[in-house]
Amino acid sequence: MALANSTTRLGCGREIDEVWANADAPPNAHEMECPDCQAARASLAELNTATRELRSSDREDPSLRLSADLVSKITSIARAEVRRGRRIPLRRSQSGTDEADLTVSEQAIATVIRHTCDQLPDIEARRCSVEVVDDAAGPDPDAVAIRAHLRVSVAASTASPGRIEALRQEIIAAVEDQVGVTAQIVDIDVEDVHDA
Amino acid sequence: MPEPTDVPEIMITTSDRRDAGRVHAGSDVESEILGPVDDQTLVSLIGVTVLAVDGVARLEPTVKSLFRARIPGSSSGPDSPDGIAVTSYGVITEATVDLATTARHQSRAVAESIERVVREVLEAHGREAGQIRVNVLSIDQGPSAAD
Repeated sequence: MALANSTTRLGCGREIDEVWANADAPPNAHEMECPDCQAARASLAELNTATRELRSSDREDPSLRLSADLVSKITSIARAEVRRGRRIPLRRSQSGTDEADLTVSEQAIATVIRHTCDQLPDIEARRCSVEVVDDAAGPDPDAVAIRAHLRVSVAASTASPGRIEALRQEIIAAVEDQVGVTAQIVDIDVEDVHDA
Repeated sequence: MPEPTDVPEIMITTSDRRDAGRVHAGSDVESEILGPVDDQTLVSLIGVTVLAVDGVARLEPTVKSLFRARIPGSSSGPDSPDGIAVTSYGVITEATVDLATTARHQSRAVAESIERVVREVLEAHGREAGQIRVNVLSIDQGPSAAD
């Protein structure tokens, strides 16, 4: 229970921190005799009492309690934040720091990719993940490059490598147009074949 | 295919314009030099400004912004728009915007437009713009009221 960064020295030469450290215990031999330490202990006891009362008052203050609606809203938003995944930079850092000032959520990019896939009647999008590629080398020096990994199911009647390559090109174009990052690598796993 | 994102024309006005002087802080964005406002008002002004940017579907609340709105003395109050937070250090003000964009507009271009207009709002009210963070949390694929 020490007071941080306190440099207050009492008339007897002790630091107030020393008194504070012993405030919860009975006074020691010096404090039994020293009027400065006794005054300091009394002040600290008042401070302690006031703080406890304030904490107790806050606990009982209905205005400081969260309503059921607010708790539900917080829970809902927290779940949404988890689903959004990581934040991907929208452009390379201009401040020289690691923290990006413009970002897009991983889920937002995945939504663009899945939606592009869903436009094709014979391919069903499944899981999709996105990560930043460090060694991007595109025409736009500010552009961030990503690697996308999409798992799909393909209709048996139309399954062909050409369809997958066409999907890859559409994903690259959609990510550039709608997000503004470069889909440098698009891995597509055909993990199932379904009836058309 | 999305359309190119245009920076909207934004004019911020107050009822008292006696001391207002017009400045052109950007090529397309026009603002007025206005009087100082508190952080809570600034949050509201930024909210209105951001929602006027083409391609913005809506502001998105976060857990952080919800809690911030309940802290007494915070820059955000219960009636503040979701998804906007400002923090001031003297004359320097930092801003964070969390939002959803529409698929018809490129998220990066929208975010850069927002970064620009938020800077305009801060400077119009005598603040020095610190870091401005824009987080696109979702991209709406369907038609939006913002379009």
